[in-house]
Amino acid sequence: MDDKILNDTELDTLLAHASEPRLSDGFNDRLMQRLLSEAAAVKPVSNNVIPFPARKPVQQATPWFRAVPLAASLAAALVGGLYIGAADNLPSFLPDSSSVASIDDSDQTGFEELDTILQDGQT
Amino acid sequence: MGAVISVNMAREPIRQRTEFARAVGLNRNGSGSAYQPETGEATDAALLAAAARRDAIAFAALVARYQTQVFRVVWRLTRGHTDAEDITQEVFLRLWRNPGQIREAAALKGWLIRVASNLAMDRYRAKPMQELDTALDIGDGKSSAEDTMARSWTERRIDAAIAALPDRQKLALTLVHFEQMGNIKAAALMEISVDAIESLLARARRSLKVALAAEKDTLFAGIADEGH
Repeated sequence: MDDKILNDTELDTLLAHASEPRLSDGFNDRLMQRLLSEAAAVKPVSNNVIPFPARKPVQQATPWFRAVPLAASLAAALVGGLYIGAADNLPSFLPDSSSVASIDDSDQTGFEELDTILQDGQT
Repeated sequence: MGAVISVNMAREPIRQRTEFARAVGLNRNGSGSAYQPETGEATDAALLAAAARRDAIAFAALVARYQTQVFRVVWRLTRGHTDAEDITQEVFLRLWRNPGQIREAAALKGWLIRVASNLAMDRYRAKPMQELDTALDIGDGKSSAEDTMARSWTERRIDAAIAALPDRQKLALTLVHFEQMGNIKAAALMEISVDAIESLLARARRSLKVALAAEKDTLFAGIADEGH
């Protein structure tokens, strides 16, 4: 038999004599302790929440009567428009056009006058 | 009143603790729980469903059913470190926080062991190397004095050889040899192929054969002494 190495039977015999580990007493108590401490550590989180104070309802920024001037002006503009349109006297509300200068188109300009312009240039 | 301990848990700690302790002590007199031992052993599915409804009695039954297996795996992976119990608790806390994450009750044991092994390897990997070196010399990690005294020199030497294996070899050996899992199931749990787990096992056994060969005579003499 080779003394430098064990055979299978010898090894199995030795392995059969390896230690048989045993849990120490109180293992379950300590496990339960951890379960409880873990639960206790989690529990206060929900209890320690400080709620924000209830928010006051936001009041209407613009009460209805603030819109009265705007409504009145719109109504007046509508009535005025109807009156002017019905009386057919819009030009009387417009400024006099006689003072508007007429366009001076005596000069030869434009594509249609091109021949004339060219002839004038050659002379 | 049953054992519903959702938001009422912190409000009534004494009552809940009593109910939980009673359940864990397998003296289940609580009414209103889904776990009714008089009607026979409840299935994992029934217990999981009840635990999802925050039924502490049912959850305690699940803990009682799997705590030893989970602890054994963690203990092996952490070399008997005192953190092993803490990690085991963390596994069950994760289950309690979200039992719904296990969609099939048949997968419960695998889920527990997978979470446990991941937690153990992650936490132990973060430990300083000084502790690992020391662990190899003394046979385990930072085991309690009581635990160390309870184990014979032979046991500690075998444990040390197992502890010295790489994490994945150690997990494979633990699942298949110590937890009596089949290769297929262990491979599924480790999310590797069956060939891969067979390779891990072969390498683990080879390493152990070499590591323990030098002390073979002493070890077998120790076993013989224990037998007498």
